[in-house]
Amino acid sequence: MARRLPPAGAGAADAAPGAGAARQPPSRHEVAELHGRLVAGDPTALAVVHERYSRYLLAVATRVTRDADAARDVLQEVLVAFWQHPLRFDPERGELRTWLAVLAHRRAVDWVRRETARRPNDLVARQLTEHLDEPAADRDFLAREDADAVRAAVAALPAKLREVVELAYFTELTYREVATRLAIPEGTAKSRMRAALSALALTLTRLGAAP
Amino acid sequence: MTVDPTIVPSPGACMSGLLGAYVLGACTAAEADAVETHLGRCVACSADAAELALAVPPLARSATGEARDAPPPVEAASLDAVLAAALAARPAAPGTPVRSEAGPVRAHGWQTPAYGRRVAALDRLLVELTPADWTRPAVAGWSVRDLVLHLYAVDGLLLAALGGVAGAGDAGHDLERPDEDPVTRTEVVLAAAREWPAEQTRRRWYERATLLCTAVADTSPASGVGVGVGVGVGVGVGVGADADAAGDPEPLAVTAGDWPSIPADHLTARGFETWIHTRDIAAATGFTVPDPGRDELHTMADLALRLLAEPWAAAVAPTGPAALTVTLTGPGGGTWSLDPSGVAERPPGDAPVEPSWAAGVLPAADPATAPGPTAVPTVAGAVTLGIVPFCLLVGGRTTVPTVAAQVAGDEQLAAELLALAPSLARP
Repeated sequence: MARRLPPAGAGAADAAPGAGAARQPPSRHEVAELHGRLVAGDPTALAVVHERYSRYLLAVATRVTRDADAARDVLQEVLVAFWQHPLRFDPERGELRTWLAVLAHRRAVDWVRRETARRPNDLVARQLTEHLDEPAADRDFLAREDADAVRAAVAALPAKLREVVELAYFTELTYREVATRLAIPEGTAKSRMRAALSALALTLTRLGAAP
Repeated sequence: MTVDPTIVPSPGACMSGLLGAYVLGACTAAEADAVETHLGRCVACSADAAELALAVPPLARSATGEARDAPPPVEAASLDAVLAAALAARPAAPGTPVRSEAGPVRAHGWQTPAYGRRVAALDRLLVELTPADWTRPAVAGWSVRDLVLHLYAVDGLLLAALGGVAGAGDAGHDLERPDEDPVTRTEVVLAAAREWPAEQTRRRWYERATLLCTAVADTSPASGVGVGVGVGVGVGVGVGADADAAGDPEPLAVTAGDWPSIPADHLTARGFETWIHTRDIAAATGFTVPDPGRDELHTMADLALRLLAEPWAAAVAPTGPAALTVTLTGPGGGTWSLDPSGVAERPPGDAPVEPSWAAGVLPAADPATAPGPTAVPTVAGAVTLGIVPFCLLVGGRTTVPTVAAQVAGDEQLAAELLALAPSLARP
């Protein structure tokens, strides 16, 4: 699959504003050297990570949260987590850009879950499964199309898969609690979550949606 | 947070079963930590998670009703905020010069010691360990926990030698005998610390190591300006007090354990030992910790060669005046010349990197640099090996056959050096 996370263009120019032309992604050797300094408690290494990846991570977080302040919080949370737990990443075996992006995504989802848990369920449900009647002017049309496509794809899921996604994403339930709520085994809850996301990913790929 | 041992997969096992729940945020915090630890070392699962993440529905509108798709710009203030939050969660390596309101960073000539960086690295390993990891056997009959307390004990010997007891607070109970044998001191500490929980063990070791960096910094000629390190504890240090008044004389040697040396070398040795035991602990617990950076490796190798020069000269004395060129390759490498007068590093670029010695031809000895009245050594040799294998040999963690040293000229000269290298290692 050729799709990448997140939107194209956000990763190519990872440099800070004003830093000039887009830079090449750091080589494996550079990442290893940077990681070594981070493990050794060198804050200047964290500044380099910030310079290299902050635009990309903000794009990942913004795609989920649609909120600039939330995206900045997510960026900070991810970089602090990397600084605090650098050995959770192994440059010999992992891919830093993808790993940081997945961390940013999960924290953005956490923000959405906290946010939506505070909002009326009927509104939440409508936002998840229906197209929104929004004016398209001055908006990034492609991105909105994508958001709509994802929501339409969720609505088209089989009920058993849709309900686990809705419960997980729009309440703060863990998969164990989802299992209890639906009176299904924990393993089933986990596998349905995965199956639902795989089905959504497949649908979106077929549609050619470019997030 | 410590990762729940019941969740962490065995090495090599993938966590695809949890990825859907993880991506939807529907795991416990401990499970999420375990997944993230796995993703950091599994490209396949990481790509899998990224793919699943794309399928998560974006929220329609923000909490304020404003829908946004473009990421916000990266502001300069963002880095300041990130660094402030990061350093509040985990300080920079002990001994790192920081700007203070009182003035500039610590005076020139003082950098984060290799020891501070090795302490920071081991600390990050220890925070990832489970309670079960702390009890795993590590090396020499010691568990992971014993090994940390061993480092704590030997740090205590040096801290006592430097007179740093005053800043050690209630953890200074074992700082009375700087000349005690390190193993004996370790046994005493192990007995005294039997009830310490893992987290307390880690914290006490870290705090003492930080004190040590501060204490040694205070003995350096450049001390006294802009102190602003980590804990900011004032340590009463007697050694080196005269140094400031007299300009930049050699710092006074102190004896810690059974080794008299200047404080800076003591600290390099502490960094060396901490690195070696970090490797031991990582190996026992399934982690990989990066090796020290180039400057650190260089400093450690240089110290090892200086310590080895005398016993090596004694060992090869029967062969007559001898000279050995030691080339250590890799980041931090360099070329050193050993002869009966001692060891000297050759300036970079001065030494032939790819010597013709491989063909059995030795360079003519340079009369200008050759020692003593017998200007031309009767025997000469050269040895080339990686700087990390050399350091591991010195640390007693590898063997001569496995370091793959290339030897030229008189092979016995190199063989004596390599055979002596592990003699510097302690438990």
